[in-house]
Amino acid sequence: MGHINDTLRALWTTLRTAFRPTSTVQFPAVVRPRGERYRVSFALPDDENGEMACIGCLTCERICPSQVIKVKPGVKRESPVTGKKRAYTDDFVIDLSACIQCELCVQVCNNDAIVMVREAEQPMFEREDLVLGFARLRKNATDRTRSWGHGTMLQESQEPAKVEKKAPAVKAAPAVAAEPRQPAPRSPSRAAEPPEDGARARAREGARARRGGTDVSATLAFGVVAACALLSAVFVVRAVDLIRAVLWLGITLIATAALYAMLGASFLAGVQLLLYVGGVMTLMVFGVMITRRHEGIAPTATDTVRPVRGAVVAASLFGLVAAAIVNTDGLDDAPARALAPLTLADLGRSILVEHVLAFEALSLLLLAAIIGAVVIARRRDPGPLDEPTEASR
Amino acid sequence: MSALGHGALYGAVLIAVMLSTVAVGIWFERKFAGRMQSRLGPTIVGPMGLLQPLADVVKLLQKEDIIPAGADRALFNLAPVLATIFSLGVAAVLPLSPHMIAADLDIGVVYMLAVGGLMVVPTFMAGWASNNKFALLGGMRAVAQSISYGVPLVLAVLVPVILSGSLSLAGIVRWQSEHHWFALWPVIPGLPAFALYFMAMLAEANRIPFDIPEAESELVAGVTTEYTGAKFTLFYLAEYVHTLVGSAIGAALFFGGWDGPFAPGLHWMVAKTLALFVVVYWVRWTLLRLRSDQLMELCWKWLTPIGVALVLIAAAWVQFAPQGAL
Amino acid sequence: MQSAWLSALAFLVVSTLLGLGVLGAAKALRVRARKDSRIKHLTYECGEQPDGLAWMQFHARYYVVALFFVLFDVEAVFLFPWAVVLRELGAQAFIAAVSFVVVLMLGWFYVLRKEALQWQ
Repeated sequence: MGHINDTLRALWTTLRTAFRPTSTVQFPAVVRPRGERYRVSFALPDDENGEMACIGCLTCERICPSQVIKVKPGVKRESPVTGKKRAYTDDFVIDLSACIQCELCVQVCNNDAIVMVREAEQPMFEREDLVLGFARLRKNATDRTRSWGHGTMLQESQEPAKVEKKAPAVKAAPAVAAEPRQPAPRSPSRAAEPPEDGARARAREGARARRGGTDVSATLAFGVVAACALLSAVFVVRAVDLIRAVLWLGITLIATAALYAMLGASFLAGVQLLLYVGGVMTLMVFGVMITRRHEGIAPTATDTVRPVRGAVVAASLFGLVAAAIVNTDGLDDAPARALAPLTLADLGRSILVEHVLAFEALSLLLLAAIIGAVVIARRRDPGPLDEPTEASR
Repeated sequence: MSALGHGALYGAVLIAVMLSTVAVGIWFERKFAGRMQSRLGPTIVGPMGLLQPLADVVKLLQKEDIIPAGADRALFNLAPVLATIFSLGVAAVLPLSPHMIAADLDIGVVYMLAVGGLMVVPTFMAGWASNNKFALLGGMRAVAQSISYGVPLVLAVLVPVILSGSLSLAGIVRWQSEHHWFALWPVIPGLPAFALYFMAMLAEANRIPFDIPEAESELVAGVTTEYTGAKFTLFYLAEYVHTLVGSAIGAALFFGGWDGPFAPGLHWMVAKTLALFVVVYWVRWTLLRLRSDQLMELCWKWLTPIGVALVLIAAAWVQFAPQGAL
Repeated sequence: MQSAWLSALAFLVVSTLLGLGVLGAAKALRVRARKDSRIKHLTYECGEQPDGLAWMQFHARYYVVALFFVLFDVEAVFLFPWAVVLRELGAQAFIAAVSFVVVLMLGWFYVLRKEALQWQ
């Protein structure tokens, strides 16, 4: 029960998600608003007096974990704007290709002289193109949007402050469209269809079959299918490769099913496909696959005993089947008098009324087969091995 | 019209319709799967990505045809064609509306089980002919799984057969249109039998959660590992068609097929089929893959006895239910 | 009845044509390599050199599964004609089939107890 419950809950979850808005957007067409603290590149901005703020103190160069900042401090001189003496910097290089965007350089800068910007640099073909020189850094300060943080502010936010926790707003799930319930129209007064006149239908079929019996095209079709069956049977014997032999056998079995269908034995044809082609053939394939190798089984010319033995068995089997056919009653005038096709209901009645004992005995036979299979399987079980017991070399 | 002409005409039309449905189905699956995972799905090719399957087909047909060294070339080439034939061939007995059926076999149910069961042949053939270990392992696993789940499938299908007393799919649907849909009434063998059918159908089509034969994480792509281009396309197609036809048969066996008010029968049949088809995708993109041993245990320890019990309950219902409750 | 089989045959022929048609279309459309290479035809083994043939010996449990499939399918096949005449024949058919199924389920129970279908 737990599994079923979990399965249903999982199905409910995915269905609910399917009717919610997506998390992703079509990127180049729609650009989602970036987070406030989004930051990608750098800039060297001016101070409040309109001069470059950097004084070349090297704090950022020292803190940089990936050591991508190179600053060349300049000499102290009088500022042309304020008239006070201050330090300047001659060169400033950031190798963006190795930068990890940790923002530590921004955080330690007491002058707010290095900040990050929100617009990314253009993708480049060479790594060296991502080394931001002095000019580019200065240009970024005017061309691009500054990101959220700067040194003073980030240092202030290091002070322990009381954090107010805001409960996340509960979003109401969009109403899932209720599955349309299919009304079940039932009119009790609807009369049952009158039973088909079985005898007449059967007579019609029989007449058609009779006509078909002398039909040239039917004979031709029989010839083609029978030839298929025989030829593929020959290939079964001739095939060197065991798997191919089994697959040829499949064609023989399908052709036999076709013969059944042509004789009007629909059910038998279906069963032939279901049991023999689907089941017995698989059994044989698996039987071959649990053997060790398929090579080296090719019959050798010097082996004369085996073909003879095989021929004897085949001949006696043929004799047996032929005798059974010859001794069957009512087949003397078979081509002229086609049998009325047997319906499935006839078959069912025959199984459950006339041959009910055989039907029950069959269940015992199947039981014996199951037990036998278990016994054989357990005896041959080589123990807890994994799927392929041995890869061939 | 001669029987051959009738079959050929219906075959051509139905196959064309199924192929277009599969194409739209692939688009829908990717879109639906995307939404389930909070993604957009295909958006670029055509409006809302609608032409994506077409682009995929053109891409696949252009690919170079590579046959691996040491492969059994004849079987390697034959397998995808056989997979197409068997997966499409099941649709021959589908009753689309009271008078629209390609081949109204009186044993339609057996035909559908038999031809569907033949899918193991191309699967194994492809795995064996590829001369690739992943393919062979995938093929063997797929065949073992298909035949194992064949048993609950047959048992599940037996339930509507018993309740209606007919082996023809059209006959079963007709019974339901005169009485009740089997999934609704009698609800006890009906609804669980449908669940059983649905699971067995997923396993037969190697769909998640029963897709261990092509488990990407361990078997690369199972039997299709070595296939490229058109042959891969055919396998892919066969898999989708198998699912589509399986959904249609589920709709016919348990949900009254063409039966429904207001609209013509064909519309109901198509609507029900598509609804089940969507459920297959829904399951596929929700559940996880079962392990090999769990798969076998589920089938033989649980589904098979449940199927047998449902068959007996259905028989008892037919025997002992009061006449009015039919 | 036979005419329905003919229709089914025609249906199968059309599906065959589709399969061959796709292969034919691909033959016309697909690219061809200017130069062939041996490496391209190696079977895929996660980048390793393929080691021998793919053929390997499989575990006997595959065979057992196929065997049980055949046995249980034989059971089911006998239930199809039964299902068709169940209404008509009444309690007698019901009891016959119940005993049939119960005997088989004894076999299933035996399989379970002996753990013959244990996969791992």
